[in-house]
Amino acid sequence: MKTYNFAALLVGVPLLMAFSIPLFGFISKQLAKWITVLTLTFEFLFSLYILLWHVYPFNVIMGNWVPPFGENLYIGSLATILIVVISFVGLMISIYNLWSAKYGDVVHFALLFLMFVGGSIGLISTGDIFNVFIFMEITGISSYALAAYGPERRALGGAFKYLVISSIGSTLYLFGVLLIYTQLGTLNIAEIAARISQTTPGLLTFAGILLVAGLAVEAELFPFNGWVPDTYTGAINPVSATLSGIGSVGGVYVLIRIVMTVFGKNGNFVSTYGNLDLMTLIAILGTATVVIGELSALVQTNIKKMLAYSSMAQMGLVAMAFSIGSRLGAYAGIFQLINHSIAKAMLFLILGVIVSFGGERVEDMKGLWYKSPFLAVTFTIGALSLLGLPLFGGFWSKFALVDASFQRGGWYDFIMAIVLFASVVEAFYYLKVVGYIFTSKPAVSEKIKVEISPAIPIAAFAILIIAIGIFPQIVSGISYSAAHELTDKMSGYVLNVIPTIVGH
Amino acid sequence: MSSLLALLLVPVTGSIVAAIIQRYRLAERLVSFSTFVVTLLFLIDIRVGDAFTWSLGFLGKNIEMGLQITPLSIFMLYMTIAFGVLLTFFDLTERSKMKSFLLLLTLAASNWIFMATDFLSFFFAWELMGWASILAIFGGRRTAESRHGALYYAMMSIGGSYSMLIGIFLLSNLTGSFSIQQNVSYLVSIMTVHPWWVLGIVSMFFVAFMVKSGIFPFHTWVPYTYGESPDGFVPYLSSVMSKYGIYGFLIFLPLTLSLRNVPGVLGLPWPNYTLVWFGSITAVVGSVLAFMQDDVKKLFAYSSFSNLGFILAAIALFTPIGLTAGLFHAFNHLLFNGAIFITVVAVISKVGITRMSEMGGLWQKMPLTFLTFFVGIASAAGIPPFAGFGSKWMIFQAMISHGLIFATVLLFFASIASFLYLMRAFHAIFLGQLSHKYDNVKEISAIGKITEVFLIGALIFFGIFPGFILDPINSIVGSFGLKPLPTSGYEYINGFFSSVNMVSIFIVVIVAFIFGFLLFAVSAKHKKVPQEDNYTAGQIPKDWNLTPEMYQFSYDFYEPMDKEIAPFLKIKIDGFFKGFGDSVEYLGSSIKEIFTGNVQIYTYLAIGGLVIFVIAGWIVW
Amino acid sequence: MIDFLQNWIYLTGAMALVGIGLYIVLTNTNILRIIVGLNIVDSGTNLFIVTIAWHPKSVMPIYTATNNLVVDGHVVAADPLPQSLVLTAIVIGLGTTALALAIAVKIYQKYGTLDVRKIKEEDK
Repeated sequence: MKTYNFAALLVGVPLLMAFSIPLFGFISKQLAKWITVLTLTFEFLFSLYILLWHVYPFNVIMGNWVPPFGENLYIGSLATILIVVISFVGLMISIYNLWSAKYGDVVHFALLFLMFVGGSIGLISTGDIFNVFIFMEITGISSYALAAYGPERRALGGAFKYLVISSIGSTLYLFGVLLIYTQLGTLNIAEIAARISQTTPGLLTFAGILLVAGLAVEAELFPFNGWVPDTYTGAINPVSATLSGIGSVGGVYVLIRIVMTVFGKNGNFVSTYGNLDLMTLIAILGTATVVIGELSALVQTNIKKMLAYSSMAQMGLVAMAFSIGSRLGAYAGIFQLINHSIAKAMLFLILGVIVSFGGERVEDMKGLWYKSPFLAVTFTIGALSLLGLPLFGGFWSKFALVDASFQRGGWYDFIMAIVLFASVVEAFYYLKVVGYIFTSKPAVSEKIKVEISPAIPIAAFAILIIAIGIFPQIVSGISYSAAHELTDKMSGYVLNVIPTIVGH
Repeated sequence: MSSLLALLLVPVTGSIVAAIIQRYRLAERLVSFSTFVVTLLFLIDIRVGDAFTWSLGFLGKNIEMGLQITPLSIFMLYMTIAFGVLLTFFDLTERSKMKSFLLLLTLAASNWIFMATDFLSFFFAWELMGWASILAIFGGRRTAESRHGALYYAMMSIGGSYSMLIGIFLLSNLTGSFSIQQNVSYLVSIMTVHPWWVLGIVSMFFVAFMVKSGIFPFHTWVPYTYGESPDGFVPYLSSVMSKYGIYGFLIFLPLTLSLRNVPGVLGLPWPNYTLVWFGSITAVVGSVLAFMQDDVKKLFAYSSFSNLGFILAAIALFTPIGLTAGLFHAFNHLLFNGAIFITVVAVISKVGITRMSEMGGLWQKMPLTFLTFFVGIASAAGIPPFAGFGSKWMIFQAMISHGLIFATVLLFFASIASFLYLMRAFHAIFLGQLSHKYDNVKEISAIGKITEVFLIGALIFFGIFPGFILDPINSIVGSFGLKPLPTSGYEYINGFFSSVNMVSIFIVVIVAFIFGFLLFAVSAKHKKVPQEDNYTAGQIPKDWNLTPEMYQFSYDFYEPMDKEIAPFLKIKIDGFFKGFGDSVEYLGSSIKEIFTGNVQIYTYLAIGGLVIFVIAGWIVW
Repeated sequence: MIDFLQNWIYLTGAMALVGIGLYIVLTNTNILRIIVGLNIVDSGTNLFIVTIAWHPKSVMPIYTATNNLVVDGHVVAADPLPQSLVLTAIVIGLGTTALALAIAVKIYQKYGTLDVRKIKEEDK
């Protein structure tokens, strides 16, 4: 067991800075925004250091309370890569916010944003199942407030819907956690994972269903994702980017960590303890989400709503990839999660710039090429990456996903056929928008001037997408070792946290 | 640094440069032209057997990827790149909204497709070619229609490539490798044990190839897409990109060699026999639909896939003569289709419309274009001594040598129908009286003229000396393990029954032509009359709702025949795809209603879902 | 581990509270009532948490001379951990409720209604 307590700063710094932002806000509103940028730059560089110098996997142990007695943070390869992604996306959005956050209370907006990112990083790194609940609520409360932010009233409606569904979801999650606690008397993920077979199967199944249902709210899986279209549409674009680029990453991570690490039963393909195989449940949820999301997105005339449904569908794809249960499936899921996070965040940011010059209907994209070639090209890059076309990151993850499900075989062949059909539908609506961008002359020939602060994140995302598209090794290697953490829970996770554990 | 890699990197570099400077059209087109030339120069250095491999850390292992040159791939590379040089040269003065960098990306993808040794890079290149061409089509003349055309193409193409993707994984899971060679030889080894597996897997691939080549029943996108793509791109689309499918078929057709001893139909293994029928039906469908078109681009779109039907029917035989004939026709199709589309594009750029019945008499204004078009359609119709004759002749020889009488009759019928539509286009565009609105039309620029002269030269040269193409084709035939046809000089075509000396045919045709011209010259003088010079027997034409366009004698050219075949046109495959799309959209708008915007509905959904899962859990208990 | 099913009366109470809360959320269209419903669900959860820590025969989890934590080889001490969990859960519930009420006020200002059926945007 390696410890590296310094990494507690990953969670501590953003939360500390978040709550001191009002102090900086007294000095200047600009300073408050810059504090977010600086903090997230620190996060990004620190996590990059952990990744590139191969500091992971390690534990963060507070006050010498070793797990399972104390609350620990565990940062393995999966957490590392996801923290890098989250802090990168967060950094980019915070740079974008230098330009976009201009109405209302920008200081508290910066506070909430930083709290959200810090909460998400905590969610990913914590090793305690109850702390997951706490961090879920930290991200939850900050994201309700973020979603309600903005000049339009629909933001409030969206935020309220999110709040209702999400608090029901976290209650379900808490019930699930407590049912497990009554059985095992511990809240440490590693210990629960090691001793999960000692529980009553009936109660365990019930707890598992509650946990999956609660977490599916954040992971945007049908039928727990009713909030998605309204909240994404209502929120201002940087917030939508935050929700889909950061929030859903955290949601899916926890879902997968609970199902595959805590409940998982290792074999050729991971299944779960209990009477009902939760992996099957997730496969069903994921496939249903893909189909429903893509078909609903097909008929949207509001491009933001279209992106929201597409986001939902992509999360279904990710969940479906994880549910395959093989190392390759988990690999495809992680890869797809990263690609989606980058591409969808970029699309929302681009939309933010476009919307500031006009409407957000699909028709308003007409002739974007003539108004701003930069936005047109980057939008196309993002869309093509989501479609899984080559030269862009999405190609590799979709390829890996199809490979994984055909290696699993059986009824996954059938699922994959459905998913591929849904992908054709997805191709239609994205290419329709791309077509509007390039073919039509704009109704108003006013040029869109992209300022430097939104241009930096958009360009960075686009470059990253192409870089992954040409050199998939950037993400491929770490994703594959992260996949091992999920598919072999003892050597991948439990023994790294509690080396002395017996049981299982 | 291998020069094989240069075939990929040069176009990509050119594409990046072209994308940066796309604001300046001439510079962009110059980059595009010079990239094609440089690629061609690199190609000259490349020999059969050259190979380059690298490995990619992906899917948790190191995947071997490679490029390799086979006789077939070098033939394809020369065809596509040389044609591209000509086309980009022509495009220098072309004024449509085509984005050259997409053309160059397509070139990179196309080179990669022809050189790939593993399915991963094959699929990568295939999809790259797919999206680059989809985006290129968006630059069409009519915005809404070109968007529709591109989306139709995109749907078919992506559907096809997903089908191929499934095939790739079904196959690679059996062999544990992506290498094309290993997978194909594995298929050969299980051919007799599990013929249905092989059929299923190969059909998944064939769907993608059929879509790309526009083979029946996946031909429906072709007219929409060709008809609406940018004028500078459509020759590439129809001449070059349709050949990718043929290349794909040739990857898997060697499988049928192991079936030669199994009883089939008429001495042919039944997969070959089926494919021959697909090809023949495509030829007929394309030809019949073509002669009813009034839109010149659509007409030649139908014509294009009809010719692909000929090619498929020939290569599907997979006998020495069939393969030779098919590849030879592929080459000729590249040339004459290029000539036709380039002249059509030239005409459209001058007159600004695509409806043939509004053209007419343009030969007076554009004589060289007229001549090129004439040579092009004469080749397409298979009239000696032009390039199309030899290959069509060989195709018929190949078909008859297998006793495929019915398929041959279909192909003959398609060939005759192609005379009809070629005549229609020829008459409607160039002959007849010139409308006054075209009084100011001029011949195309010098660059266009050079291209046209070059195409005429090529069509005649390869018509008289087919041996220059048949030689490399013979080495391809040899590389598939078949016995090449005997060669006897550059001017000979050797068929199954007989051989033809193209030089003597050329002399005969020239003599006949001179004779005919003499007759024309000494006969009575002709009088040029304007379009409205007609007998109206004292009535006013306007009373009969006559408009000037209706004076054009090609108006409703084949009206009687249109009526004859109208009943058959009610069977629409197009309608099937459209209906399918409509149902999906209907489904989407129904499913969308789940998300009503009322949070209580969402709560019901969530709680309902939970209850269902818990009950499901109880039942499992 | 405590055999928490012995506390069936409290458990029933907790479940009833959650059920009542969900019923309120599902049947009332007024935002404020929905918030109250969510709050009742929270209370049910909190009751559940404290219930699992204790059963009628348990003793306080502090070792003194008269307080035997282990009887016949079984731990009879109440579990102290859920008490700390419930504190966290209560605080979180409070925060959520406060935020929900703030949003409700804003909603009433902007939409002019508290009916959840009317808080939606037509596609424009």
